[in-house]
Amino acid sequence: MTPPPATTPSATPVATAPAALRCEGINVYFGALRAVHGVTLDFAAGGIHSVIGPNGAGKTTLINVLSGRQAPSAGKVLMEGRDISASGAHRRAREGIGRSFQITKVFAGMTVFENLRLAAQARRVRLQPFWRPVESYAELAEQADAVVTEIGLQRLRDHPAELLSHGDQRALELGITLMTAPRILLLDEPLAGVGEKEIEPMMDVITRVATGRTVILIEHNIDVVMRVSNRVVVMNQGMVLASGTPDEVQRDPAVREAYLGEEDAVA
Amino acid sequence: MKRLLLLIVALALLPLVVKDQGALYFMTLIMVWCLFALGYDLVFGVTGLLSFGHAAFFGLGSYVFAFIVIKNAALFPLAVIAAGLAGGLLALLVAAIALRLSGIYFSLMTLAIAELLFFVASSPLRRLTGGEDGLTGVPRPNFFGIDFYQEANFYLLVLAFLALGLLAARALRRSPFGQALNGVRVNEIRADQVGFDVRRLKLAAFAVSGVFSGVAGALLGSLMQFVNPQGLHWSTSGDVVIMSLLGGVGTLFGPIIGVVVFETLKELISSRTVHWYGILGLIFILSTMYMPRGIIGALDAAGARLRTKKS
Repeated sequence: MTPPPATTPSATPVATAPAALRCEGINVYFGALRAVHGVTLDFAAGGIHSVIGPNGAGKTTLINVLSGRQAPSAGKVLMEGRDISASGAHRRAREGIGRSFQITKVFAGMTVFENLRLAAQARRVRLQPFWRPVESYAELAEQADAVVTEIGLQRLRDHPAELLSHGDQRALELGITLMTAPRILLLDEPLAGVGEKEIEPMMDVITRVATGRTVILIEHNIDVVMRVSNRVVVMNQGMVLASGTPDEVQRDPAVREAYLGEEDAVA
Repeated sequence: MKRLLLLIVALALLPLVVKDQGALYFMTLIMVWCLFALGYDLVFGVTGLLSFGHAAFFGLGSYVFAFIVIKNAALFPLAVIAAGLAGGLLALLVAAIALRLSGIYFSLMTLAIAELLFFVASSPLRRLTGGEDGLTGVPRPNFFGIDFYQEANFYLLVLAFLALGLLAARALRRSPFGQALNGVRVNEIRADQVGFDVRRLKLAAFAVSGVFSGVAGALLGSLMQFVNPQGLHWSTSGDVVIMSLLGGVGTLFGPIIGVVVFETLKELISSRTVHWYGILGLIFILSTMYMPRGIIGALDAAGARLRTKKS
């Protein structure tokens, strides 16, 4: 594992180039419940940015706001300096924001290959003649096969997606997200429910696909987070508690008290 | 493809054997409904949207067709195209309104709009539509000197439409568009997040389905030589739902089997008792309990069992 490159230690760096993704003053209310409150974050281009925090901290809601699934009650989202607050999820996907889900959402009833091919198709906005079967589009098949290899599922290429093991479904989930050729990847607990033995290979895939992309990762496995992240954001009760390099965050007394506890869970 | 072409050829040869005018009329009626069900399945079976309002597109097609051909029977081709366009446009409009809602509320909205049309055709527009009495004297086409009042000839004409519809529906399902609709049904959130414009796909599915329905409505008007608000009635929407479920949704042949079984049962039972709809309902309930994937699903399962036994 290569050590993460040094990043500016200040929590809000003076932006020279616009951040890959920025959210400003995000509030999300579900009735009386305050899921996300006053969150302003910059995700600089490149590297892995992890968002951690206890259950109910508002991490998934934040990802939903960034990906366009959830309209915030207040605040805006900027991609590379442009305000994309008004764009829905499908438009953001076409602009280069890919998103994987905590609960696996593959296309059941289709094979691994068909799942990927379908995802590849979404970016082709141009209207296609209906008399051409989807099999006749060679470039779709090529793209799908490239990603099948990338996520290491060649041996299961023609298996029905719903019959895969949980770990393989997680890999396919990531693969579907990659098919949209994202510059920004939002990964919601890619390791959720993944067995001990499958964690390492899965992390290898994630660090590999992170090269050349901006990754925003929600993950509960603290060891993994501290090892792979360039920056870490800690959320609690809908707010940002701290952000910085893994080292800074681990030293932060507020973080130790609120989240990591006194048991020194972090090595 | 082979099965499809075989079916079309077999149907084309049928009038050589069947000479009875009543039987030919009945088989033509079944083919008209097949075209309707084929279009309906694009929305229900492929895209996964339960529409209770398809009678609107079917019925509107009948009326638009009738208005044109009553004036001039030679305009048959134009009238069929107009009926298809009218069905497609109305479907687009209904979907645009109903898709603001989801789930059962979506279905109820489609039902409400169709019922509104039924009411409008039955009474406020009575002078145009003939109200409950409907429009009589809707002609069969006349071109190339063929007598389409001969049931066998009209049968072949409707078969040509059905064959076109079958080939188009098959191609649509296999096209990227059909695959995208499939994706919307299986996992809408995923489809959205991968970059599909889900709302536009649903609108497109409705529009195409509406064209099928409108053309089927036109053919029904020509077959019966009569158009009345019954085509717009909610029971027409209900029948096509039942036919689809009975035969097996999401497949090319399922809805067709459903139509054949439904219409045949209706014909057999209604000639013996006035309570035929009740008996049909009972059969429908039992079939959804014991054949959740419809007749075609049950046949597939039986076929698979036979194959495993042999090997």
